[in-house]
Amino acid sequence: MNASNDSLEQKLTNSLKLITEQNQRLVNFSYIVSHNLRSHTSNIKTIIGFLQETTNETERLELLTHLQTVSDSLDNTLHNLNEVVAIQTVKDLSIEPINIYDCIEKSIGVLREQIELKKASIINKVPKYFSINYNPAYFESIIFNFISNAIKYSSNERQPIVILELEFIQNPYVLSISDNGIGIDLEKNGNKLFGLYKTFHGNKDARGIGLFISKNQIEAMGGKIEVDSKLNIGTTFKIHL
Amino acid sequence: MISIQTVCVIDDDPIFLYLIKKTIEKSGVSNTTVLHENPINALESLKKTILEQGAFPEIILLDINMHHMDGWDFLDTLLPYIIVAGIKTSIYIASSSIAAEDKLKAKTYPAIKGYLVKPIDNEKLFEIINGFGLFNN
Repeated sequence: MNASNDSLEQKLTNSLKLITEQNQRLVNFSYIVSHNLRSHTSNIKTIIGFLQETTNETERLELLTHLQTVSDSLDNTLHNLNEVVAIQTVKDLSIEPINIYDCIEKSIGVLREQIELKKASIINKVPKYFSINYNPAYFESIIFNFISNAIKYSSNERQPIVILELEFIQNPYVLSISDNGIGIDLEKNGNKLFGLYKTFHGNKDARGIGLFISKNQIEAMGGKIEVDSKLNIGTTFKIHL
Repeated sequence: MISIQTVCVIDDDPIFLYLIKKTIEKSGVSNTTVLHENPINALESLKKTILEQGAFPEIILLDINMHHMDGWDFLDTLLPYIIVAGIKTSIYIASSSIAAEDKLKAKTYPAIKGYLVKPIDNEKLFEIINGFGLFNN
């Protein structure tokens, strides 16, 4: 009796934790939507105000050019937000066996140009014939994201090296992606790393949305992500698959 | 209406910078508008002004969510210089964020005169110029 009560209590505690996390994610997301849309709509509102006042043709054309830029940014923002919304929970996702090694090689192939440009070396240490059950689209997107980030935030002072390794002794398996890039000041920016609180106007903050999406995809699959980093030494991401 | 010498705007959105400059120019409240798209450059420039005892902007409009450096880090770095040099300036946050967390954080900085939610129209601009603390919009 006591044992079953304990297990029931444990289940309830787990559910509560899950719901609290999901709720937090939703609140967070609503702020993101609000913030990202507002930064564009407030620009549009101001531009329209000036357009209604102006009698100068040069100024009118200049304002229209800016309106076009804002419209493009807004479109881009919505595209990014859609991607986030599209992340579903595990019960709606198709699961297939995926060869991790092949998937990494595929991403390396897609990123070949950037890799060559930075003279980076991507070392795939995952065993060749090892498969896991995962959603294929998420897995591809996650792998692509982490490799592309590692290249993007590489250091100019040394040859960029990215190592992908699988620790498959424990369950769940852990895929680690280590780089010798610029690193992140975790004390200062750790809480912002996977957050999506930044605007993405100008599409400058690819890391912002990329990591946010990856984290949500990993969590939707029931896993988690850890990060360890030292400024100007490098970063290691550990994905619990 | 009170007119002032210099307004400095720090925001990584170039369109916002273009628009706020136009808004300030059309309103006639200030003679000079200094724009900074990169907060790190803004910091260097303002620090230099302090060290060389140049004319410091009377009003600073500061965004929070910026690349390179966010508004809070910016303030944490700049404020000691301002305090030591005894400079009088009015700092306002100009953000798209309506998060209570950001507004509350702004209130913990005595140097921040107010929190403005974009867009910044003439009405908000005049209230800043007249030195109102704006925490309630």
